[in-house]
Amino acid sequence: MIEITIPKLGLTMESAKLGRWEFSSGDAVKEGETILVIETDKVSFDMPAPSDGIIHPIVPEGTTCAVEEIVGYLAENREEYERIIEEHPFGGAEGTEKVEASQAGAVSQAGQPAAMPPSSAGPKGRIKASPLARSMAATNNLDLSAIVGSGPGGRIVRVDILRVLEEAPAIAGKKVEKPPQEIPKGIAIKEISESIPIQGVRRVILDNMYQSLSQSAQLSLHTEACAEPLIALRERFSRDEGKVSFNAILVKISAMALRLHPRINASVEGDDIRVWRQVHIGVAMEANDALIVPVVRNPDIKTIREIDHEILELIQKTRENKLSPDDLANGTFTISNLGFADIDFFTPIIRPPESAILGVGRITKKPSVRNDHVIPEARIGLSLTFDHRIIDGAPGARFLKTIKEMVEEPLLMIN
Amino acid sequence: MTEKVYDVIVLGGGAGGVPAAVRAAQLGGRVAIIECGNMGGQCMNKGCIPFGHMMVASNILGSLTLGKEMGLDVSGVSKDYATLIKRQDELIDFMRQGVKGTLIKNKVEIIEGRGKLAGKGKVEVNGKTVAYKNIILATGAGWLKPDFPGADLKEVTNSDYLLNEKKLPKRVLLFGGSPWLIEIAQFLHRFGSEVILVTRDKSILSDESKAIRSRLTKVLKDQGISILTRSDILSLKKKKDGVHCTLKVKDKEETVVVDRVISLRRGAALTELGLETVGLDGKGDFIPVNERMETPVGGIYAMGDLAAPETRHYSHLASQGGIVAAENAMGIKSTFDHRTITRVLFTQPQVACIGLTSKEAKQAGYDVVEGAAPLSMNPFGMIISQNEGLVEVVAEKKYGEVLGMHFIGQGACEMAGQAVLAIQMEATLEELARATFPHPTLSESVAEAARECLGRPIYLP
Repeated sequence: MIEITIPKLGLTMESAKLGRWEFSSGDAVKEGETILVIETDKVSFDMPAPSDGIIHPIVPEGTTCAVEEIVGYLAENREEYERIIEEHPFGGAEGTEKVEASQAGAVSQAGQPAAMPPSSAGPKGRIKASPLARSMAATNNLDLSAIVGSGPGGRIVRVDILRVLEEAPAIAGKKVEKPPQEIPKGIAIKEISESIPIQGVRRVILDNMYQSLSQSAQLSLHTEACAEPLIALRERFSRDEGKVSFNAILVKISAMALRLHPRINASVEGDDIRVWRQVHIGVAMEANDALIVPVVRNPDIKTIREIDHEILELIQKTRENKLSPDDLANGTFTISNLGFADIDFFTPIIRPPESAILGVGRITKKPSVRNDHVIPEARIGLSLTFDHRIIDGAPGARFLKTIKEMVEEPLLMIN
Repeated sequence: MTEKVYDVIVLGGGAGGVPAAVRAAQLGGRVAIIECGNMGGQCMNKGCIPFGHMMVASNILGSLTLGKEMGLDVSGVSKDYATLIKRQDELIDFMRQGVKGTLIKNKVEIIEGRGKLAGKGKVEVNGKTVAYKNIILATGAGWLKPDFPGADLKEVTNSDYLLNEKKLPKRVLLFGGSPWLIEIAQFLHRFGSEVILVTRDKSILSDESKAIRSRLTKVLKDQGISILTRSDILSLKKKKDGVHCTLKVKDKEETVVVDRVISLRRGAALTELGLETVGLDGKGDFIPVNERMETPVGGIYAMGDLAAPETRHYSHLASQGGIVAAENAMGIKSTFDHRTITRVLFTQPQVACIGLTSKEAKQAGYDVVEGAAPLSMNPFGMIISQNEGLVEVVAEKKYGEVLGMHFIGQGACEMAGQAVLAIQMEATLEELARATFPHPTLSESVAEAARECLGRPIYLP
């Protein structure tokens, strides 16, 4: 028997929310398969099965657990499983029991076996639903945890089940010949096509963005740099050990520029402006429909090659949902690159408590004037947003100018 | 220009208007309530409260029969109507003050006078124009002239008349389909009047289930009240010895002589409201509203008797409607739950019906299961001789959804409260069947009726 516990994903992590069990009690799982999704306030983490076995969750989804807390067991065989379920009943069984009780009613009433196999009634947190809604869900084989309630406090009530039953063919993916959509005549109507609950990482993003714009005074500056040296530098690297990304070079440039402008590498804490000794630069990326910003540590003392490796590792972890809170914590500056989408300039939003963020635009050939001659030249858009409460316009502009100069003359990095 | 603009103005301080005003104020609105008469409306001044009071007195008299069975023979009961009315007036006066206090506590401005809509966003009262963002129309209903020949006679009257008399008439004919007539009939009969109840319908409470109708009819007839169904008034003639009423009783003609004819016919108070100034036509019997109590005109809400047919003139409907209207006016999405409006009668036995009858449920397409538990088989029902009492449960078979619950018997109107909660919270037959009600109480029959629906009664034969 193996205990399934909440792993300590970071130095500062003390608890985590048990987001979702991927298996129900009694299911056989293979080593390495994701059995559980854990959510901290920063990341969600897919927890792999430590070995093959039969799983038995004991803590319901949605519960906040301490690090090292036992949330389930993995049995070697059926006998051991039977013993475990006797000794460790599922913790939040209320919802499950109720479903079963109403099924018992259905049995005695209609003399038919319950429609739902016991395993799919599996481990679920307490779900607020009216008895009628439970009865309707059980009869129609619906999973209550997938239904959004419209009653008081999100309680699932009769109308919610009726709505799902109406939509059911579409959900089940059956081919239903939809009548051609008619364009409503007269008044324009607005209907909800999808309602996405704001929770988990989305909630964190929403709160952070709001906090950022409501609690600081943000100013954005834009400039353009000649990108030819940047391209040349990247090609030079490629000739040795393979490619490095523009982002890796820009992280290095930003780190070195921050060294020259230490006041940018700062945060407001209470009545003080804290200037940070270390430079840690977050790189904004998109993962699973969410914005996530893993942090490259001390890029000022790392080589561009090392930075590139670190970024690749962070991308890999992000894709696999394996980021730990430590990978996201304690940034002092951020880079956001929207060049892939042909964006030239934008006004990125600072990630509090940081005080500045560099927005990187696309590299594209543009006419440029050199010695009174128009020549084609690769150019890159650079935007800097900074917190005007602690960084005045001129020092902010000088910092961006340093970055521009280093982009155009990378040798300046060894300054 | 510093014109005062109210977030919400409530027109009418009755059973719906008062909770509407308080709720809007609770939600932070600047609120005023306009009332031209006494606070509390029909319910408190001329309806539920005085007649509830009368029915309690009537029920005390009725309980003497049970006392006698138990060896408590109270002879020589004197019935002083004037004392009853005095107590009732004191009670109402106290309640009116309570309502005013509640409004003041919640910072609702009280404007005394008759309000009339004067174009969009404006209402006229006492010659002045008051501006609002939202208005909740809560003017209730008023008496309509009865629709039978001879209705102009001064002996033809309504329930208000009983509230102003010192003495009760000897012989009374009650005409119409209103359930309140049944209460008045029993009250007058208990206080010594001769009573004939005449209706055009096939039965009293003609929309309720057969069991409820027939049980109530039997009790009232046993108590000595004449009930003439499928009958009508052909003519009324005033003579020396009283009003001669020629009735058509089924196919025959019959004449009775009475001192008063009481008829209750109410209609929404639509006239003199100025509805046309805001684009509402006011042509129907009442103002149509949606489940959010919104009229077709934005910012104008209506509820209670003003927005319901006569069969649905209930204070509890008005007060829920008032709260829903106020919440929507203040920007909270709120809807009215029609499923839980109970139809109550404070006679002895009481009658309380909620939801659908089995006939209505079948017509609505449900696969219906029914269960009934007579109170004559309930231990407490036996103690208090509830021979005519019954609890009926109407449900739908597939999910066990409770569609209706009907009660007749002592405390039926209180028992209905559990039906309101059960239906509102969407309990199924399983929950009702498994409810552990205290013993010995009449409520135990609710669980038994549900078990009867499920085909597993414990005590029923």
